[in-house]
Amino acid sequence: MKLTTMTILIAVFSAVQIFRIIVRIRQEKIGLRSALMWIFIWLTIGFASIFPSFMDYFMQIAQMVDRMIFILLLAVFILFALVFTLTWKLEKLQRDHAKMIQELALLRSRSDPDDTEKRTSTAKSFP
Amino acid sequence: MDIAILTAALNEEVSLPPLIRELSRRYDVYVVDDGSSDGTEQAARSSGAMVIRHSLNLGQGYAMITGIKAILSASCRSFDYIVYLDADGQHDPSEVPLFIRKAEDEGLDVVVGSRVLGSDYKDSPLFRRMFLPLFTAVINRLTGYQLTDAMCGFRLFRVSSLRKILPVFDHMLEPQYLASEMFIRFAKAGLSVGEVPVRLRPRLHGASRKGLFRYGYGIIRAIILTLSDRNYRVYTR
Repeated sequence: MKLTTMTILIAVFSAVQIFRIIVRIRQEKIGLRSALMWIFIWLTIGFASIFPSFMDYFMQIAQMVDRMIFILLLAVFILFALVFTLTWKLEKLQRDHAKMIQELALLRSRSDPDDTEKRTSTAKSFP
Repeated sequence: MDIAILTAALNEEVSLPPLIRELSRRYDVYVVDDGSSDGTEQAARSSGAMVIRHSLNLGQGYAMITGIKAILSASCRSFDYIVYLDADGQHDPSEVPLFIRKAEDEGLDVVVGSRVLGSDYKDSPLFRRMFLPLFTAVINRLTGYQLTDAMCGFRLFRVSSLRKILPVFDHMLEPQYLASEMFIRFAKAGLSVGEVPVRLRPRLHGASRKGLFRYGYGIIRAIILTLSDRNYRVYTR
């Protein structure tokens, strides 16, 4: 184990992030599921920065030699997975949001006295 | 025969009142104000239309679905047909009887306007002349319909047919780009579709907000999403 300024910085940064997540859990600003995921990610980053040889086992499985390239590829893979999940969730939120606005518009129109009056008074028939 | 005219408007306070006045002499007019920031809602109400207002802008497709639901759920009126047309005044209200006659004569569930069959198609923008036949060919291939213009917003729906397939509107995946998804789902539900020639009038005010690439991408996306939807085959009569 050889500690450099960079490895210490990464480890400290990971610890700060984990602390922030714990604070947010206590404030009920983050769900337990996503909190656990992010704690796991930051723990892995912090651990790997102090014990880089920890990654060798996974590098062997992936048949890779260069540790830096392995880390970069892993980071890109995780980021893609997160972006995909976020995109999917955002689209679902947009659809739900649109449905709510539609429902609200319909409810308002049913209770609008002006329009109710028009509906009953202006019946026209096509010849 | 009772006809409801439906239109969706976004910031059309100038072009909407003359259109509503033209229509409201013969038909009941419903306007969905799709989150306008100008006086569209007041202009529509004072011109004699019934207004349903989205508090935020959702897009034309969502607005059309809201309008259809509002008309179908109107407890004191029951309509035979809903005719949808654009709020910018490009669709000529005097052509509405052509749609009704076509639906009545041939017993069709849906009648759409065709700018290709209308005589002014050759003068339309280059983008439309290039993109429209391609898109229409894809829709025809997927649905079995024989349309010449699958993107025209001037449409008639038979209310009794819409009631049978109402859940379809709750499961639209890309309502912003309604045309493609709508035809695919209508075909699956066994609805008959016909066309009448229409002519486009110049816009009364403002400019079109449809961007070429964004619109094209949205349509392709809507087709792929609809075909890959697990509920694709469910809503049939």
